[in-house]
Amino acid sequence: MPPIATKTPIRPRPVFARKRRGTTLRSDDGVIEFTLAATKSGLFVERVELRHGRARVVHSTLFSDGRSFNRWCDADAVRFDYPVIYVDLKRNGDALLGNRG
Amino acid sequence: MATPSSAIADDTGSLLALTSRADYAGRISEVVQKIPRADDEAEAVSLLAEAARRMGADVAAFVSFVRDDGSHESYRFLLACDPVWCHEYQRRAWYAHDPWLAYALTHSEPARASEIPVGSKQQLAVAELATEFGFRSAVIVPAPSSGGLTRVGVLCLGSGTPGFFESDGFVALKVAARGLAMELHEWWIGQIKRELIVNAGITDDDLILLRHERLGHGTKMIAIELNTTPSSIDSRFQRVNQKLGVPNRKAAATLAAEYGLI
Repeated sequence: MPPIATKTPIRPRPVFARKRRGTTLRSDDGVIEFTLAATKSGLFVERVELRHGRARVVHSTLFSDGRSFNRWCDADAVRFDYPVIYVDLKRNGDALLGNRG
Repeated sequence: MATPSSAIADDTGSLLALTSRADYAGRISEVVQKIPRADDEAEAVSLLAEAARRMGADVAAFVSFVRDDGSHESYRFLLACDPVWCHEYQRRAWYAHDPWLAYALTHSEPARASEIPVGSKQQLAVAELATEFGFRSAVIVPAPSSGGLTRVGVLCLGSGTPGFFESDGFVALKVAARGLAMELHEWWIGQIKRELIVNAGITDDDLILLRHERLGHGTKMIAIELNTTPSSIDSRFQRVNQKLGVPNRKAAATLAAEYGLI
């Protein structure tokens, strides 16, 4: 399903396209990106959003359980704007939390 | 809430009692000293949560703001609090109305939220939202930069106990919190700087060029200094602009300065 919110494809500046360990989920228009990784402290999630092509907003946080992670996912506008990304985000996050040693 | 902040606040009692402990500063410093060696954001968030816990805070967030040039800006949040807070904050695009961020952009002194004037209706709404997410009592700690750069860091420490940060212990907390804010800010800028150099393939020669531009030197002058031709200088600037993804050499020099490359 195409994203609802953005009409023009926006790409981040190439210098900020980072290589990360973990799983990265990115919308086709480049507006939203999530990186997930299992750490000893819990599930690390980085959420990157390009707002109106000029502001880059990055949230980095850790979750220690699936309940709080799912609550956070459900509160994200991504749920409606990028439903495919939302489903992938929850599936990957739950898997990483489940596999955490 | 299940971020590392869930473990925060096992030190009960008042801020004054906590800061009166002989090992208060030492225990915080122990954590802050690990920040420069943090491998990634996950470790930085963990250290932020642990340092905040030792300070007596229940929740913490660190925000780094950089205006790359006239057209691009970045907000980076390390969250040791309920991250749903940021969804709400972002949905309402409150950056322009955030009284804490506004304070940090114009002050260097840490302040309690109660000391920061809240003027407009929107500013009041921003403050109320923070209260809802665990910052019933809060301290705002700016991490400013020198040299006319836009980059600024803001550490927000919160407590679920109303008035927690209003006691005399605030002075001791302020000293420790400043160290934490500055270390986090430096770490973050360092991370981005390394990414810039690696991803964009910036060379030492590029940095020399950008330093000249930053000093306001023209093409002819730079060519004489570097013993080459003006057209060669122009070509080299074009390549640097392309590497950095900016439209002109002024923007390239600004971006390089903001991220500490020059």
